[in-house]
Amino acid sequence: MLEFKSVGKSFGGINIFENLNFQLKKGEWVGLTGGNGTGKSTLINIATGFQLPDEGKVNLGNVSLLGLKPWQIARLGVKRNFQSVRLSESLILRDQFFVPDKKIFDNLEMIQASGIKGFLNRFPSECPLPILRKMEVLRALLHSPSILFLDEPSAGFSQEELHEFSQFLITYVPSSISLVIVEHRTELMQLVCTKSWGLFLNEPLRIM
Amino acid sequence: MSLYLITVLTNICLFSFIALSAYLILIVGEVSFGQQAFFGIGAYSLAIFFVYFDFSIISSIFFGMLICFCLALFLSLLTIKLSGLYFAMATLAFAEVFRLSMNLVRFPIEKEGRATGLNGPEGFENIRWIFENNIDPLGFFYITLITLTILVISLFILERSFIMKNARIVGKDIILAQSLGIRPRPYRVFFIGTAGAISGLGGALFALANTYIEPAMFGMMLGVHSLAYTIIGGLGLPIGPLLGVFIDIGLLESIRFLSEYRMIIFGGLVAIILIFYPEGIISPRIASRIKRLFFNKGL
Repeated sequence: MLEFKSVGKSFGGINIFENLNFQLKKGEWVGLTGGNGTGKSTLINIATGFQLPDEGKVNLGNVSLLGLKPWQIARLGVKRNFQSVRLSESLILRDQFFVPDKKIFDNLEMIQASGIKGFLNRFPSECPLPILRKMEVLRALLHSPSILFLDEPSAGFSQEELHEFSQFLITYVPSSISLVIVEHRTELMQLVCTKSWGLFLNEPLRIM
Repeated sequence: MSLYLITVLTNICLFSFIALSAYLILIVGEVSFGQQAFFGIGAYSLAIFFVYFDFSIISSIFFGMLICFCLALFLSLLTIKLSGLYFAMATLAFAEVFRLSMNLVRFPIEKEGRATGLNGPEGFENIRWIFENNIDPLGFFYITLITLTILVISLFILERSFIMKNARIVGKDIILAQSLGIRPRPYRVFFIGTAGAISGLGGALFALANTYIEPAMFGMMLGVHSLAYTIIGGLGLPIGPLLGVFIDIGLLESIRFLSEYRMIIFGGLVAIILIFYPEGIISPRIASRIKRLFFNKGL
């Protein structure tokens, strides 16, 4: 269970959030919405150790995540993808999962279902954007997370792709994983999430 | 083979070691202007162990590499918070400190009627292993070639392991590496240390081949060339830096008749190569293309 306790963060005198509280339980799928600059990405960065909060506590079970390096937090099972696709232009997709080959073959069915199988031997520059976003999600899933943050996984998807993708998530993401989906649009989270949170400037987290 | 050709080929092999050391450091995303120091430390350590302490040649080389490895580890720990330009400056400073202090150290001795030992800018003369063992230039060329081949094969094996794959992510995108649970620091430290040892091995062989070393041989230009070899050759496969050395030294030697103008031609050609191959001839992308062609893995 991931827990934020009265977390505050400001950048250059602008409070992104103060006194942010929430609990993310095991197997909970949450959609996180909010306008620009309300701290959606900052929340992910704090949970995964890429940024430090100014105040408050962040706990994973009994372990405090504050002061842990991002790689330590990742090894504890808190994984994420990135809003800007982080794929290397010099490697073909199948070399960018960064897991042993065996793991790729064991999960071939999932890779097939995601619709990226035909692109595994291509460079990122030879693939459309939705494929690259799915690739990022798959990479995170193959690293067996216990908590997964997806930062705008469906940006640029057509309506049809969005429905396919939601079906894919429901089928292949184990229900023991806690999932947080950050989106501007609400379609994807309406399709897959059981809960949604709203971030608004200078307001506590709204649970909807 | 003519003696001239053998000498050029031996030099290509010897400088391949320093090129491979620059390659390993570039893979973890740093630029070192100091690999010439480890080349020099390898050469000097070999000379000291072999001449002063009468160690066997194998143990002299081994201890030379060990010293280079430890010093490189130390340097990488000292510069742990530095990256980019600042790391490059720190390594350059380290290399210059080494070169200038070798200018100051004098401890000449006489051995079997010949002057030898550390002698400041006049250098370290009479490292006579190849004469004592009657090794002709061709024989020494084979020794360096075999050593280099073993090294390159080990690097190819390493290339297929998770160590090299993770090191490449650390060098390319440290944020991604961390989000996948890869701890960046050990890769950086281990690669810089190993690069020091490889450069030191090259330096030790260089000292044996030349029988004479002086501090001026390990100046900044050697470090700049070591980077040029790797940047021309590319970071895709361990064979890239070798190709870079071959082009660099081969080209410079083949246009020797142009005397001082050859540097202009050389510089121009390097620029042209980099226009057509901005990531070097065997770039990571080309390495992936080769892999895609030959190793399908059924995906």
